[in-house]
Amino acid sequence: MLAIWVRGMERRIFDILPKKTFGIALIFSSVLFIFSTLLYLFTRTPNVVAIIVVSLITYTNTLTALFVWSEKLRRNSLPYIVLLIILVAVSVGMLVFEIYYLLARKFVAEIVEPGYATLGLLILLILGYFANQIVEKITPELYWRVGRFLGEDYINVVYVSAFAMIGPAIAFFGVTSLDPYMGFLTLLIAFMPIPGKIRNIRMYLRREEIAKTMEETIRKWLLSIPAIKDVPEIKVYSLGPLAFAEFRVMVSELIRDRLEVLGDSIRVPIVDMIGNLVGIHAYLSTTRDTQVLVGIPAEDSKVSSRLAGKCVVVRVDLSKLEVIGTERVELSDLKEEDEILRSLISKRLDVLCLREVDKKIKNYLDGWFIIPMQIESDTVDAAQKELIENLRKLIE
Amino acid sequence: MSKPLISVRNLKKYFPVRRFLFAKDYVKAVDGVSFDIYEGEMFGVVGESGCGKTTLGRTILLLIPPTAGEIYYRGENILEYDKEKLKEFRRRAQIVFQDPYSSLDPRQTIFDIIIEGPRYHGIDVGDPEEFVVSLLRKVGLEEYHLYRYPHEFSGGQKQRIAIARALAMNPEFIVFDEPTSALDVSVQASILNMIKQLQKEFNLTGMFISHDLAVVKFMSRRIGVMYVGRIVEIGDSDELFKEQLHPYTRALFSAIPIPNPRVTRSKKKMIVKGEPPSPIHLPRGCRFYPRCPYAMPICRTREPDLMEIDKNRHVACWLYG
Repeated sequence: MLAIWVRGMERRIFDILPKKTFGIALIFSSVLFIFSTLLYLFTRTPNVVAIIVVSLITYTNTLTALFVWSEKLRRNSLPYIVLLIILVAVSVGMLVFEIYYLLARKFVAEIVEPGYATLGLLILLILGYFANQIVEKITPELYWRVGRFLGEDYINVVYVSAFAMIGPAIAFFGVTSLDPYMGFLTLLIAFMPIPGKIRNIRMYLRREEIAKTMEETIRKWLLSIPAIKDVPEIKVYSLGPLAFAEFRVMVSELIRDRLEVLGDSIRVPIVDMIGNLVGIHAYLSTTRDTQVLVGIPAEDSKVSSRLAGKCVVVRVDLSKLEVIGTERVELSDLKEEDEILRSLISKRLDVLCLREVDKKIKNYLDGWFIIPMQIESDTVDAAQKELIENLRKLIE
Repeated sequence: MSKPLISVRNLKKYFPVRRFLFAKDYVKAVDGVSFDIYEGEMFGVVGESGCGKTTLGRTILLLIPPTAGEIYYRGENILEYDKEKLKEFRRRAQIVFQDPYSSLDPRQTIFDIIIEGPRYHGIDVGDPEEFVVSLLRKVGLEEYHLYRYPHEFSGGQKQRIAIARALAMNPEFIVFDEPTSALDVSVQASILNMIKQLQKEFNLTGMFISHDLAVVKFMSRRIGVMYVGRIVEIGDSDELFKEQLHPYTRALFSAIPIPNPRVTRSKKKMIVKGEPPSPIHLPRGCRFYPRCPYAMPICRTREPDLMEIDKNRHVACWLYG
């Protein structure tokens, strides 16, 4: 889901996981929970208690995603951790109580309607499988890792259901005495997702630290694009293994016409790179109140006709359109055109003046949001004047 | 240029790999390949091992069914062929496999191996023995080889038999799937010369798959460079050897050893870092960007299509988009 709109010289990039993903995950969790509870009331087999527990556990990942996704909820994450602790505690409590009950009653079989129990567990297995598949499928491809995270708990339902079916199936053929023993084993298996959930609870305590690391990664990546002058605000909300990023970037006025392309170039790689983001809010603002760096390939004081290893880098105050400094850069060990270009990009140029601009160089510079500027001047001094004139035309 | 005999459009071949129960991931062996092969030409396909060259060749011949895309033979989509037309296409399109040791039936004599195809398709060959002997002579074998078994031949001779078997069907199009890679160097040259001569004699159209750039240059007039399931560059072989446009092609060609220490020392090698990505989890955008020294932000976002930038020159790179 992507929305971009312009307000003056600001563009907002709003990309987030669609709401229906959570809706469908919650519906599946509820169906599994209600169906397994009814099945237990109808059949009284401890095997089904294990499914009630793993169905309850399926809410946790969806809740994590929902809390980090919602703008209101992510700003106050305390209810999230309380809910998570309650869910895990109730699940562990149910498992412990049922095991205690089985031990206290010395494994007395209470199962009724074993045929329905087996059929019900088969339905739960199928439901769990489809829940996993559908939740992963409806998650947009960009967020496939989040889709896997949301779907993974349903796999627990599948394998615990498969194991839980053994007791009732044997009971169906008349051997009911084995059902509580199989139930005991199924309850032990149902403990398996619990350590992962406890890890998520522990991760909550480190959320600030995790968020800081992600903020640094995003900031570093954003600043690798020369056109991005500053990242004045950045905030990552981290809950469990998921996160949401909000940031504001300042770009020079020179690329105001390409904000949409820049937005797209920021949006996709960040979600792809971080992997556990459920969405980003980014604000792109242009500014004239900045300095821009302009490269002019030149041998001594003469402008080179083509890209060369020697270059004059001119620092221009964009608000006043004045040259505020020059620096000579020598890239003598680099021979290839592309190597020189890459090296210039690493110097964070905003504009590259060339007397001849071929398509490949233009595309490369465009790709990095650097303006390829064709100039006619022969000398560096004249080129600087021509550059200021061209910059004036460009921003006016 | 003559008309295209084979045209491939957005061809895809994904192999499923099981992830969980019925849940599958897919190995994208061929992923959206488009090109033309013109009548009478030998089209070369190069790329590193595992990039999908063999799968591409086999998919074009429908030895394995494609996942998506179109394959045109003389302007007709072969995927829409009925049984009869498909049988005719299978007669007209042949393949010479990479490994001559396993592509010949060890229980059949050479005569049976070569005559099996024409017999199945009901081709009138006149006297079968005479027909097979004439084919054997064309590939440099003799009459006394007729009733011998494959194990009695060397690797090079076996590959000659495989070529004779393909020619027996009077094909219009042959896929040569690395026909010399299993042979030692001394035999390679004679097989390559023979294929070239037969191509002229029979006016064959072909696709020559290899990872050996020198071999492909010798055999083909046009070359397509493949990287992880996609063709990233197509060009005339002379032009491609003179100037490579796609960064991967540059890296691939700069790896050609030059038997002159002075040239080797002065020539700047372009070495790409890392390994090719997994064909199951391909990177978003251009699949070469994680290794590309010229990667731009757009390369991480959108995958470039094969763009025509000059006559007979296509490249899939944003540098030329």
